Amino acid sequence: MNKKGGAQKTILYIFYILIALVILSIFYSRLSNYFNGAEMDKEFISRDLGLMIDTASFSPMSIIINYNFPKESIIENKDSVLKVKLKLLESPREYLFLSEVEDFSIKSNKTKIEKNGEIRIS
Amino acid sequence: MEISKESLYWVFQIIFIMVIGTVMIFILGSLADYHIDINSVESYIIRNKIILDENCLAYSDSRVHMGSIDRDKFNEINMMDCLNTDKGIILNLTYSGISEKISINEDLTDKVELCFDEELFSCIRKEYNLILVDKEEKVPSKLIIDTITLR
Repeated sequence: MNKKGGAQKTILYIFYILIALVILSIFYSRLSNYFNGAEMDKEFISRDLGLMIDTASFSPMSIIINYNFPKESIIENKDSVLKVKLKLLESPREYLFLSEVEDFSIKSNKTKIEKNGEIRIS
Repeated sequence: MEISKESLYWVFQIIFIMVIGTVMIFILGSLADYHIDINSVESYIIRNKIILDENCLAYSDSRVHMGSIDRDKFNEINMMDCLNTDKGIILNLTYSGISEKISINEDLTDKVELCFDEELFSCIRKEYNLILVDKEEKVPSKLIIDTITLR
């Protein structure tokens, strides 16, 4: 009986430690983004790029903008919502486009915005 | 299978620790979170789009005429199509003694009276003197645009 109880306790301790490790790793990955500036980069890019695309979209002129990111970024647009991420598995920062922009998905450290009638992001 | 009191105690303790951990992650995450305030820039871009985009109000024939708006485009359906936004927008057009109003996202535009609360709302009002093209006829008009955003 005591042996069984001891083994049960050990398994629970291991589980306890695993849970603590999972919480700590989530904690670390979430907070490290805030403290190393990655979250700020995402927030800035989503707003800056989103506003720039919106501004270009209603200009009557032809426009070409070369936009360089501070580091490789993943930018996606689906249903006029711009999503910016720096890593594949992380929550994105979002910007709702004012205009209708064709869906796109880019992983690069730069992007090109072209307006000649329709707006195109590549 | 018999569940001992001790096992139950440990299960509850684990659940308790997980809840505390999750709450801490969210509280610390939200404390460290930052947002760039772009309300005034967004309002400026919305207003420019309304006036300068031929899909919104800008008058166009072979080209877009800056400073001229099309009377036929001043309707709720066209404005809803032209603006994809979650912000509240009120357009008030006055010309030749006539005044017309369009509200977009009424759940926010209804709260325009609460704009004095600057911590909760960002409200910006601008007036524009424009040429209104109404069936080839050009008349002076005044367009007042209010943008209402939750902070």
